[in-house]
Amino acid sequence: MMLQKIAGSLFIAVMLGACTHSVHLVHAGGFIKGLGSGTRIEHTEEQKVYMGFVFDNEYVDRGYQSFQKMCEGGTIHGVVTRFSTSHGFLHWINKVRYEGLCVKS
Amino acid sequence: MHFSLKRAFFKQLAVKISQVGVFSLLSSCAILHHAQVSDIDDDKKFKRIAFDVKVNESGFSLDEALRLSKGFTSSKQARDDLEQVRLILALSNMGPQTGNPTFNDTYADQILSAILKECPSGNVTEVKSIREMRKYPVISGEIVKITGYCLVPN
Repeated sequence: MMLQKIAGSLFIAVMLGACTHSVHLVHAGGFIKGLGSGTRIEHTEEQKVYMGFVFDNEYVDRGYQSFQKMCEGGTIHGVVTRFSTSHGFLHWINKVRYEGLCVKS
Repeated sequence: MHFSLKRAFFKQLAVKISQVGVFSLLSSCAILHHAQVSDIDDDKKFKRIAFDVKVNESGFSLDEALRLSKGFTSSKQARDDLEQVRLILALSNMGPQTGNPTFNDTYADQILSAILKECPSGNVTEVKSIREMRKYPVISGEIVKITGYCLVPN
């Protein structure tokens, strides 16, 4: 009976996991006058955290570099940054998403 | 005997409903989480047209809902069960939270499109980014608001 209860609880916990999210910050800025709207580019980078243990602290910089590479030789302006967390069973995923306008001359 | 029991039950129910009513009235408020301003361009050759863009999503606090349910339950067994459900939910949805959790994280992804809709030239300045919430018991409105000025040549 006890074992069934524990198994049931674990099943519910796993099934309910990763269904909620929290958006901590959205920031828009860096619009450059006269550049126009250009092409929309977007990149998301993630950091997985297991029970509070973090093994990857470079995800923000890595995401930023990948985002820059998407517009090599051009200018990115109108950058919107979103920092959010997706919750899960005994773990969570921090996400940083960059979106901007790439203008190549 | 039966009549007095019924009366006591309804009296207790009325007290609890009025408590929830007072709680609801007192607890709805706006909470600011984050505010940031980008660069400011005050070029007099351009006319500044103000715009604002707002997106929101319903937030839901399961923890608060279960705590309220516990307050309405008189049975000890039911309260223990609710506490167990609370624990399971806490373990299933671990992680940092700003405001109440929502069921999707993409509600703010249309911000750039919305800004460009307001200002197709992309000549935008003084952008204020605000992350706030409207809090009510159990539910909330999780809000992202962007205000700014579109620069149009004079």
